[in-house]
Amino acid sequence: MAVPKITVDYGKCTDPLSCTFCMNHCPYSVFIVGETRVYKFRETPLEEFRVYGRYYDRCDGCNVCVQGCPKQAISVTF
Amino acid sequence: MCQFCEQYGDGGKWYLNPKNYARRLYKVRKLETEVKGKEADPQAAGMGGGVINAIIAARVRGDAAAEAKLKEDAVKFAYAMHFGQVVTLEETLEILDLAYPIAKMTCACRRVQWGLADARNFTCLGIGPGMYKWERWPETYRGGVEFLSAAEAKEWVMLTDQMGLVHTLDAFGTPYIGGLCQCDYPGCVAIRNRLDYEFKFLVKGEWFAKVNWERCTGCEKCIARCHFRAMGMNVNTQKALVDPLACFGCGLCRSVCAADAITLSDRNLNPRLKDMW
Repeated sequence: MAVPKITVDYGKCTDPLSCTFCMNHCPYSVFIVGETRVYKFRETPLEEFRVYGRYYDRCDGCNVCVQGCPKQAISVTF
Repeated sequence: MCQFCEQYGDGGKWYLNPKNYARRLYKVRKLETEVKGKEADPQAAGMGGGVINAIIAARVRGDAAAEAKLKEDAVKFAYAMHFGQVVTLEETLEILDLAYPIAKMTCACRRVQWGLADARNFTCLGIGPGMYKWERWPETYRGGVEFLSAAEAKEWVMLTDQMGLVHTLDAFGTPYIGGLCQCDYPGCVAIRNRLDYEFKFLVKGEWFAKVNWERCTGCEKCIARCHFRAMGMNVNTQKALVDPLACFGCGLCRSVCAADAITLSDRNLNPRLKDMW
């Protein structure tokens, strides 16, 4: 199966939950966001969320995410 | 009858059995989170998230046997602990008379899939004594919780039905039922993983929809309401079609039909569908 490798540069993408560009513009909803730590008695701070291309098998390489990412943090390579 | 009704229904539907909302059953959250500790894997976010990553990897490798085995093991575990089932609006309203307390909370799936802001994301209902734990693990209940009376919750659920959101229930330590979701494809991780990867974390409802072509006016309003790719238009007759094999029995098509052309039939009484969950 010809599937792409989707990488996110976490040095550039530091607050995906406030941005959500890729999640809301990908036509196939390839991206998901999750927390890297869970705390008792408080919510996970925004900088501890990471976005990644879970459903990369649905990606057709349209590059909407690559071109639109305000931090230029995403690359899609086949 | 679905396997959960046979095991936990006491002769009826398992989710209408008040026993399955009892406090003594509530334990899975503690086991799950406290063993895991503070580190969390962002790639495992969402219901069944860790498993779906492995399923996608197996599918991309072209390893159908590995994909089947992953699903078999994961579903077995899910049915014993944490899984979902589609329910109708009427059933959801009945459940709201059985469960206490009821609280509106943010949807973890829609956060995972859309990064939806907390203020726009209060589409889940947490039910039962588990809700009293929200302060201990606030990330699960991000944005806080809003406790509702049964009447307020019913009003809210009817609104989400108009919005076109599917009603599902969630087991947290089967047969304890702790959640009532109103969600969509692909926002709901469970609906998405079932439709795109045939991962049966989400079980079909007890019903399936039928269209009465004598009554159907061909207005097409029902078509867009289906999240399960079970509806279309018959080009020759200009009437709505339901694929009974694909239908999950949520009833959203029915609630928008002005001609009363759509009815729900009992899946258990249909020889073809009674074993398809």
